[in-house]
Amino acid sequence: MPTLSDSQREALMAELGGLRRFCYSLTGNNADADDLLQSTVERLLQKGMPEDAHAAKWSYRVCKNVWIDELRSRDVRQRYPATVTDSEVALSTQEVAAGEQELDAVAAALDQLPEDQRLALSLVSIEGKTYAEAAEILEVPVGTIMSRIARARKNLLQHYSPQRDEG
Amino acid sequence: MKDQEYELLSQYVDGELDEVTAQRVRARLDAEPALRETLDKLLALNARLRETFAGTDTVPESVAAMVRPSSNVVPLTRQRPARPAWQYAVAASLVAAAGLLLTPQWQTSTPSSPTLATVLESTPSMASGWASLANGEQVRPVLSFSHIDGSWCREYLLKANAASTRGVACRLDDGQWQVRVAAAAELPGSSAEFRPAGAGDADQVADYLADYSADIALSASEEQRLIEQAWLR
Repeated sequence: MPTLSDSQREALMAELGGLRRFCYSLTGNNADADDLLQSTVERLLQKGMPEDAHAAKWSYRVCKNVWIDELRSRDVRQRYPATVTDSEVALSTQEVAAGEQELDAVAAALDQLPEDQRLALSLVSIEGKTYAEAAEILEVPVGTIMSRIARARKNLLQHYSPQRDEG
Repeated sequence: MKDQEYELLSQYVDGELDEVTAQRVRARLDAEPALRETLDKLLALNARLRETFAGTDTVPESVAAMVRPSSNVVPLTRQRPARPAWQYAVAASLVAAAGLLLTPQWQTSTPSSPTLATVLESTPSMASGWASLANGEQVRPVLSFSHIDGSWCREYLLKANAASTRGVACRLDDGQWQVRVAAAAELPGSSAEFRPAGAGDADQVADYLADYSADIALSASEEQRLIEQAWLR
């Protein structure tokens, strides 16, 4: 597949681990995380990357887009109202394969978040991106990232108490 | 706690505040226990998130192979564990089967009396289960791949009474399947347990794949398409 140069492939290789973790934080289970990662890579190979694109930001953005497409098609399939911010969209838990590790309490709480908050929080808290990087990946202003993350944390603390759960 | 304060603390946790504002937050934290308590919760939450997802960055090899620069791609290369010398002898004695032309599928082909050739010709690869042959043996096509000489080849597992063989047969231009390599295979205690060549047994087969496959194994859909078009390129 000639769409990515060798140096772009090298740069992408370096991001795959983080992308897989990001996929897991969005889907909440291994099978869906692998599927999302593979779809992301397929789209990257198909559409290519601009010469000057930053591999990390570009690949995370593609991953986010693939995930939102996936959520939309799930919505359609399940006759849900088609909004990705619907806090009822806690689908991945239904798809956890039998025998797969049980979701940690914090991951389960993450699953309850509206999707835009979950995306922002995953990028910053788990992936260690700056607000500016997250803003580029999610294609929203930095101020929006800041308020989404604050709301995400506030929501999470309502569903989940880290002190009590510790140890 | 007001939303505004969540935003302030959240930015503080993420190191997104300028130094002056961060100073101000630190002063407030000393004076306001409620603010301090929320900060501690946010910090604990952050630590917990990182910890929870720390081990989830393992990339499946199939995906890594898609990205790896083509110059580095080594098709079907597998880690070859060291094996005891006796296995070489066993494998060498069985490898005599190599070069054997299988009875052509068109000479025997009726659905009720399948042969190894008919199964290789028309049965998709399976991760479990067996196809029964007319002679009582059982076969499981394991994978299909393109030989560097341009022909199509299939790795298979053949079970006859107690002995099992793992082999590779390739399809010649005239449509006959020719065994290229065959070696004794240890079937693990339960025959439901499947491992591809190279997982410790039948290294000769793994070596053959590593040396002669032009690319990674075909996907199920690619293989299905080839079966439907009788293995024509």
